[in-house]
Amino acid sequence: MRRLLLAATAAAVLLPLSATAGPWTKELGQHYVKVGADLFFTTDYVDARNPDTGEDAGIERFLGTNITVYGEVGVFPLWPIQLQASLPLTIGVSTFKDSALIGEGETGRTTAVRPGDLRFTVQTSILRKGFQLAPQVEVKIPLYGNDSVGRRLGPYRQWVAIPGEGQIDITPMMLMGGSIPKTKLPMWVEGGLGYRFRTEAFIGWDTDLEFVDSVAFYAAFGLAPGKSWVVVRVDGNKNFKVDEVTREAVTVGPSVGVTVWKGLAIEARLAGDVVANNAPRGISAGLGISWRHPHPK
Amino acid sequence: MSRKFVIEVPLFDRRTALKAGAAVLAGAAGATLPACDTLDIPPPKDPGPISGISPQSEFYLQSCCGVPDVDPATFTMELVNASTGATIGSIDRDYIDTIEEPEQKEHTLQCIGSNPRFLFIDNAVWTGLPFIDILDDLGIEVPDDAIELVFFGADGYDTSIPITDLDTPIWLVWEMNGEPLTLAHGAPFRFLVPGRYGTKNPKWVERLEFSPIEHVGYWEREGWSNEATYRPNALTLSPAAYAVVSEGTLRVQGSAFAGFDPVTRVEWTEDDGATWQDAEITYTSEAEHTWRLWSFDFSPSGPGDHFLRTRVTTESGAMSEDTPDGTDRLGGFNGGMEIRVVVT
Repeated sequence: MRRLLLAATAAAVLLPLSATAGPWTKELGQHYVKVGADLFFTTDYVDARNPDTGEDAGIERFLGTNITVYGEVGVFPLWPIQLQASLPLTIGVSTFKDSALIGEGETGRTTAVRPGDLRFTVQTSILRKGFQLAPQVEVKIPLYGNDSVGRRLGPYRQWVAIPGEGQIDITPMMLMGGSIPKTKLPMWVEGGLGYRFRTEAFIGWDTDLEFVDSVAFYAAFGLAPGKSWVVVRVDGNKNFKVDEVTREAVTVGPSVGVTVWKGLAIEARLAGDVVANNAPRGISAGLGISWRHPHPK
Repeated sequence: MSRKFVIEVPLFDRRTALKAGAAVLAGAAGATLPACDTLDIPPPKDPGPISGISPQSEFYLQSCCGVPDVDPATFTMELVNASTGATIGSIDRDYIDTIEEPEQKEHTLQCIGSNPRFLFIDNAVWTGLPFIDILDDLGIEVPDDAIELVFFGADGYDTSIPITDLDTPIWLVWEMNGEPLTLAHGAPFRFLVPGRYGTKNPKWVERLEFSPIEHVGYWEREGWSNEATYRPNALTLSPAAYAVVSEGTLRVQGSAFAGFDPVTRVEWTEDDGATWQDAEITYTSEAEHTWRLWSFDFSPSGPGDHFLRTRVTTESGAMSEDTPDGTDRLGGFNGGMEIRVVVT
């Protein structure tokens, strides 16, 4: 049986619609903001809080919702330097069965509402004519305390999903990409490769768990017919060491967007986990509204 | 933790430096922010009075490694002198069938890991014989140098008890409440070891050694008590540990047990121990080593959270610890379970 916590990493799965800015670093005054809602659904149960217990869990399903505010802004006049941040509100709903506690055939439901992981990123550009090359550093700071999750719910605590791994991560990443020349429609490719340092500094979680470092990566292909765009994207991480607690996943899916007025756009995405080790495998979907300046003419 | 890559930071190692930086970041972020957890469960059902004798179908099940694939009709337990390695006897279903006058005893069994989450305690009438009588009947003499009985189960489980427990006496049983043991409960036979938690009451024993040396068993290697002697405790069996009710009176029922030391009093508190009220003992038995069942009616004073905690006192004057989770999980639950009743 799979043994780590349902949704220990659901929040990590629920990145906002474009969690990485792409290699085109914004110049002074340029900005992009978005408010989005993402859903993550799974029937897997994985418990990071009790990796040593083999008790069969009666989890039926989990639905996680992230409502995220995300923004990018260029802040330096002489050279592109961009700050970006995202802050999600996580709402995790677990539906479970436990005949000993609530009776045969009955179902119960727990809901945990927490701020999620604050992600703060600084990015600049090395190459920006034609081929783009942009280094960035992301810091992930948990704004929740896993020790508090479900603390007052007695034996039902095991059904309350923690919103994340509760640890500060630092991820330097190199982004690259460029337009594909000589095509009827504007097309581009982009990708990123980084190293996720697990600092072992937990906030609000007294745990002996040790998550291992990993390679973080993504790749995307996009095209933009008219005022809309379509992107197919792969996100993932590969751990440096096999263990029983560190999430390792690859998520694939399309996203679409359409500009409805000046820089105002509606965006949507769908994604599925094609690889999920030490993590619940599920599907996610998102819908958001964004504003970009300057906007496409 | 070993790392493939190491970054040397003057004055600090990487982890220290990162933690220091992380602490600053956490402070800057305002640390953890307010949050909310909710639980939505159906209201508790009144199960009616809990029976003092647990049906086999409802008797708790626990094993380290699942139920082994054995055939009770042909299953054999070998008895071995561990000093010499010699097999000195065996017991199987055919032998059990030759026993003309088995005895019955009422006996309570509780899992050492029972706690407010796992209400693993039950009571039944067992059919069998003291194991020392079976050894006598088979003409098997206990080796002089034996200090322990070591049990090896077909499921991969192993544990041990002092040889002196033969005189407690320990029992070999093959029926529960007049019905043959089901495979999950140990068919064709299992051991009952009075005074010790379920970890010392093995099932599917295919090899029993009379050993001159001490043995550390499966759960004991994981840190669970090797003595595993029962401790005074109370478990609330109904309603569940967290109940949501709308109004009216809630009937609270539970068990109390302390091994050979009979429980004589069960009390409950709704004000964190400032005052205690007696619960009604609803089930007692003339047999030793049996549980007591108790109940009380709780009429909440109003909406909100109510915490109901219990404690037990035994004939010898021993009491459960006044803490809802007990004091030492690996030694067996020794607390008075607390339930939270949310009145809406």
